Amino acid sequence: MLDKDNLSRRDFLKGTGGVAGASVLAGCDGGGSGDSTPAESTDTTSGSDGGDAGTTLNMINTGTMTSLDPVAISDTASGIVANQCYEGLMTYPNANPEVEQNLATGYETSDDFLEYTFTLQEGVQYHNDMGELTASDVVYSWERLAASPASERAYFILDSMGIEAQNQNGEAYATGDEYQPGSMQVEATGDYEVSFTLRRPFHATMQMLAYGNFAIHPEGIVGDIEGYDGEVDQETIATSASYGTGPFVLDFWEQGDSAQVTAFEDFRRDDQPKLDAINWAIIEKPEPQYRYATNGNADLLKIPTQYYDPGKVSVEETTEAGQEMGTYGPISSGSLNGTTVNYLRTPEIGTYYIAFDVSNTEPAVRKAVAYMVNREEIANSTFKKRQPVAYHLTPPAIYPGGAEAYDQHVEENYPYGLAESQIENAKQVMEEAGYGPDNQYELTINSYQGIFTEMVRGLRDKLSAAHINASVEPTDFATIIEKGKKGNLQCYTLGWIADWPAPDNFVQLMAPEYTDVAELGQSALTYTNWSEIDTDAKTQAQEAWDTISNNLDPSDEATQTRAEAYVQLEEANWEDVVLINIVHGATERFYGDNVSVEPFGGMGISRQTHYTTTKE
Amino acid sequence: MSRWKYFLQRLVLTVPILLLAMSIVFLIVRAGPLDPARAIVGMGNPAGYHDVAVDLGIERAVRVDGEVRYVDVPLWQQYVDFMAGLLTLDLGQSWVIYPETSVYEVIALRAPRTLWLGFWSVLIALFVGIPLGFYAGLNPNTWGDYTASFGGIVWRAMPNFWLAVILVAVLSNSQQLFGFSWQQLVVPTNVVTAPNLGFLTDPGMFLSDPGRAFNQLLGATKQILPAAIVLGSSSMGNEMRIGRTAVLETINSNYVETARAKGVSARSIVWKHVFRNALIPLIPIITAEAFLLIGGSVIVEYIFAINGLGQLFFTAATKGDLPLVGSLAFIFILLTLSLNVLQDFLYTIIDPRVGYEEN
Repeated sequence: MLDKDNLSRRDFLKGTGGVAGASVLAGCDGGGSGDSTPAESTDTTSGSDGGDAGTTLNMINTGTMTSLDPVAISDTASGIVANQCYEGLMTYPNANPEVEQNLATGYETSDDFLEYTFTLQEGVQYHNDMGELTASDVVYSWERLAASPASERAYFILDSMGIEAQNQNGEAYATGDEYQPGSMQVEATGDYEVSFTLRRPFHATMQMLAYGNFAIHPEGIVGDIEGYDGEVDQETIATSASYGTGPFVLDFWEQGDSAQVTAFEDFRRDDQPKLDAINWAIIEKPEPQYRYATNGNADLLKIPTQYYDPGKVSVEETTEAGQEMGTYGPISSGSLNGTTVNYLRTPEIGTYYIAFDVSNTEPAVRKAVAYMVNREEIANSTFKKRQPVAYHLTPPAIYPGGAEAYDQHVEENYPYGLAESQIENAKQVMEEAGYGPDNQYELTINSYQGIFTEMVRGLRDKLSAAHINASVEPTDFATIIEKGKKGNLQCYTLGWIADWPAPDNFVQLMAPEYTDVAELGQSALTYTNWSEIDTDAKTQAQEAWDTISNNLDPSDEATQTRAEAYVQLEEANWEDVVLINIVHGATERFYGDNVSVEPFGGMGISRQTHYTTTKE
Repeated sequence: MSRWKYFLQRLVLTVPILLLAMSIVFLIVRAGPLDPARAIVGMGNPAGYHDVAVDLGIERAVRVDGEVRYVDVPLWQQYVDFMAGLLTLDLGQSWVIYPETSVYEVIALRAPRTLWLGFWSVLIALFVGIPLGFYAGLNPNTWGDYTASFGGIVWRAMPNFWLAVILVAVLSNSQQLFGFSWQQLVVPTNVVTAPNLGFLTDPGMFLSDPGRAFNQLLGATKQILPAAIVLGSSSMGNEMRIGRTAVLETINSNYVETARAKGVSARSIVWKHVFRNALIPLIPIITAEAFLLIGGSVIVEYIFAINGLGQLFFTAATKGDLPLVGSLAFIFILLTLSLNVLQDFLYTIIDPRVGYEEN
């Protein structure tokens, strides 16, 4: 959301703090979002004249949408809408992390995992009579992602995925260079065949291509890169019209009020989409979200934490991916008063943590905090059981070996106590370091505003028993960054949501070389300065990270090597207590019996395209 | 000094005030703790930072030995650029909330909602508060006076955020509480979210499709009323209390007694003499309330999900869209000053004593 840059200094895996920040917002403001229930009355979507009868699915969009230009999207709120209009070569089906082909019908990889050749579906039509999809559109769309001034995610294609390119001096592009427009090795090798070359093997190439920013739009539609005059200006594609191949066409977006998409008549599958339109009321605050939904204005409800009662949930089925399905109710407000709605909770691939700058906090203090943190209590009281607890930074869904291995590793190895506050241990470790009732350690915690501040305040009260006098400063995202890059944070809370669903995207936050604030400034992935201290654990972490960086290809052998290194990194983090992981994200959906919608997967609600959703 | 000279003097005085206010905005935005470019770039990388900083005029790109370096632009230079930009009404663009969108466009989209809300809240205050106050003043120490005065104090005392939450909850549950659904009453509308103001942006609709336009007008009015009552509640109480005092003071003054002795009709006394004089203390109250159009509406917009200017300003500030904050602050300053000028203008017209001193 707040991310405007397109270059990173070091090679490989550069993160998306902006995404993380945005997700913290989403995860916390209302304590997870939900969606859905029956609008009994034929209702009143305000501000829209287009919302005629037929089957319009009414939803609430909880964020400020910023732009619908596929290359410019960096926030969930915009992604929710754009994912109905645009498609890429690959997709996360119903937001599940296992990618599938979408506009592609097949692909081949060279033996060294550097060259990829994709074949495209034929006869795919664009919105607004922009013709048929061909391979040159892919070249154009990706060039825009790399070179358009509007692009928010140029580093996805240039750095994370690492397609071969040149810098401004005509040399081979390396991360941190200025990209020479038009130099990327992406080529249309036929009308429906496109190939590209990577600088080095990258195991998550397919997952990256499923990302919304890689969506294909018609060649020459916008003239913001070299060689094109453009048929429309960038503002048009960003705010008022869609030029994708997706099942819905953008009808209108009235900023700060509502947005609507209508079914695309020439969509390539005749029987989809099932809905005539989808309308989103843009409501950012929990109180009106709840009223709007329970007054029957929305089919997919939001229930903010203050109105949420964990006792009303009854789970009937749990899927392999950890999704819980059942019912919620009765609802006690508005026209839905007394009704029970369908319930879905999906664990998301994200983690929220407390981070320490290890160069200015004592090891004893960090350990004491780790002993005092009782995740289960926090999840039950502060988060009302809406978010699952986190011991690893890597979420269970992508943890090597899956959720079972995750749990087993925690039970056998977590050093600071499960589901309890070990006050005696905390006291002891502090007293050994020379602290006592009359000599308390002063700790400043910059907590992300909202529910995290509440959580940290609870922790503060406990810490006084362990001779730590903590003061909590609620801090907004921009200020956390500002303080972070100057090295002015002692302890803070933030979160991370997957760019691509693989552990390396997470454990990079603990790679000591990426925590060096003095060298990296705000491009440090965490402001923890782990690189500055000299411990065995840190050496182990850096070695593990080097192993990962050197084994990035998708082969089984490299995958196995990486898996071992991920676990070593997690254990090193436990030992030095750099990040204390608290909860993984989870998102809920509430909806009535008149709506039939597939459960969404761990990549988040915004990545679900409503191909098959129906409403009676 | 004639009245108009007085007015002109007031008008000229707004210029230094405008400059001073803008300077303060500059200091807050540029010299404050938050680096505007940093806030826009987010957790990212130096290259992106420099691009934004150059666009904002905070840094300058210089070529040294064929290599691009970035140099800080001195604060005074930034100040001159900032002031020149605003004074030539070049408000720039939004960076974080609606990237690449000009501030004018953002305001044009949001302003109708805030104006519609502000219009009704001022109107309700005026047309309920003042008549009630005058009624109470003309009938002092009667049960009617007591009821009106007590009501005024209660309205005045209820905090906006509380009243708004209660009102939304009550209207949402009107079916269970009162047996009718507020949403379906007369015209179907929502309790929260902004009304459809299509008829405002496209007034031609009243001629081309009057049925739909009037229906929209009715719906928009019904939907905004609860929010407007909340926003106008405290000013309503204020105007009631001050109106009552002003009428009491005037009606007991000597010239009213003289007029009465002369046999001037009660009707003429009230409307011609009392009313006009009692308005004088009310003018600053009313114009001050017009500020509700701007800042005071943040909380009400929040609870009723009316995403107007107040909400925009707040979001821009919390999300670090500092260029937008600066431009919006400038617009608010302009509005405030124009309202001050309007107040002086009304004074000049209504109060004959203005400009008397030298005559």
